[in-house]
Amino acid sequence: MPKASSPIPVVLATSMLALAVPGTALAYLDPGTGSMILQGLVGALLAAGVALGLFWERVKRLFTGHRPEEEQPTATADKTDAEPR
Amino acid sequence: MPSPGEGRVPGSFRDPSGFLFRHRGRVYRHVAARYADDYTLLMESGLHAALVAAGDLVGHEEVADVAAPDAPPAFRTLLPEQIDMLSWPYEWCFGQLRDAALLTLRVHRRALEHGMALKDASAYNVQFRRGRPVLIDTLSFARWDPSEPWVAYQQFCKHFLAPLALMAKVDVRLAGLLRVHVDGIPLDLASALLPWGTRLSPRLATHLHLHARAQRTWGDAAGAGKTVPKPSFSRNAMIGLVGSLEKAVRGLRWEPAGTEWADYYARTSYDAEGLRQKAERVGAMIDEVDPESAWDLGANDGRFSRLAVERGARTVAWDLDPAAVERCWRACREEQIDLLPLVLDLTNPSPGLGWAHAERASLADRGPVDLVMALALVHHLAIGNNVPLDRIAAWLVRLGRALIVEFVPKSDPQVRRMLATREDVFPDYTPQRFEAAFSRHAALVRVEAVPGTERTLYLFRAGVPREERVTSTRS
Repeated sequence: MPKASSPIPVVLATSMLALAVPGTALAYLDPGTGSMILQGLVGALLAAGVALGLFWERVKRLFTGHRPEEEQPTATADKTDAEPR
Repeated sequence: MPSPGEGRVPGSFRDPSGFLFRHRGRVYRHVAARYADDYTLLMESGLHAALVAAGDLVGHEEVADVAAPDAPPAFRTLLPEQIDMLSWPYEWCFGQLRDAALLTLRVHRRALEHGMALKDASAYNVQFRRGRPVLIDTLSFARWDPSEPWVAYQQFCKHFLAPLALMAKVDVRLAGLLRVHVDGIPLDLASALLPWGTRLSPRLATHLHLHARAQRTWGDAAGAGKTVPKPSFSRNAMIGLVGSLEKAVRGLRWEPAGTEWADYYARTSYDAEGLRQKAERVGAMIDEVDPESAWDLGANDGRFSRLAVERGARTVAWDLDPAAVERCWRACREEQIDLLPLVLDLTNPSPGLGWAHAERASLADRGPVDLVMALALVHHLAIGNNVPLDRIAAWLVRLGRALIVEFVPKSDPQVRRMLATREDVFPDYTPQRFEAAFSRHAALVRVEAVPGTERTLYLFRAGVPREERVTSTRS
């Protein structure tokens, strides 16, 4: 049986991550060990992308003068429209 | 004692959070006690209201006077908005599968904003309603733990991304793989079939090729005694993952062109006036039936299906050609027409699939409908597929309580073309034999010649006494 030859993902995974079996409360699907590990591997990259995107938005605001909307949820806020972030 | 068709819905058994059951012709949802916390969070976080208001999730009401048979007491019993016509992903055109994928990601993203996440991403949890995809599984949500990767990531890739990539990058007919692999296309298969160039697309490379490789490497890690690393994850990683999948889906495109039927109306026997005359007669026949539900078989771009929609019938436009269905879907979406176009090969219609043949109902099991339209279709079945007229009639009356059927004679250019390259082994293919064959299964109600052509429209009613008066415009 041929196995994946590149050791890089394996080394990355084992060095970055603690040892345990993935699991989620109430998950009834088998998430697939490989699928979970792959997400762990690319997750840091994706997170960095998101952080960079947020930073870039702030930089753009500096030049365009737009300020982010005040996000002050009030006790009377309509739940239908509330979109907490 | 429950009547036939009552009780648990056969396809609803995987998720212990609850199940669907039928009671007095309606579908209800049993919410199990174990799902209480998540259900409460769904309702109280505002997520449910936001999704329903956006049209992305079916609404429901909680009922107290109905309970599922043979089940422990429910935490809640729900009466969801009823979906009249269920369709399956292997019947969707490219655009429908793509829209369903984007809906799933949109719902997941909205859930994250409310502290929840989709715990599954099955294409079977999406149905079409009023020209838009909608999530039908109210129990698909779970409290979000940002330290965990997305539990439904694999399912999303198998149910949506893999088939979309194969349809866009290899051949649109590979949608048929979804009929073989009802739990989504295995990623190793998708990876093997996709052109090498897709490895240069970072998103397809990650979510399909690398994903397949990770499954191969780690799939049986626990069984093989390997130490399995626990993947770490974060809030931003999940947001990045959803964004990446969204871009991957949006990056996949397919344009309907060059298939067999794409320019059908440009080369039919009808000119504009002929089409108008035909539409007028078909419209009058639909009026006579006054259907609540209709299936237009061989609908092409759905122009005659629209006649049923305009008269208030819940209508499905079935066609063999994915390009015609795609065109119809785009038109319906743009013009907001409540018509559901679906892909179907009538010579091999959707069978009952999944566990015990019962999870995904066959075409016939989703009928019968009030009206079946078979316009310019019978010659394709009788001559193109050698089906005897009697069998065609027997099949169509199983699907519809009334039939509008067009007979296209051998003298018509379309049929002449079909017979040009083969021996004519169809001595029974005549209007008289056609009428006789159909009259054995249904009552002939009306016959209309289509002016300017040699074609004839028939209206039949199944299960109606034969002596019902026949009106005819034939000379």
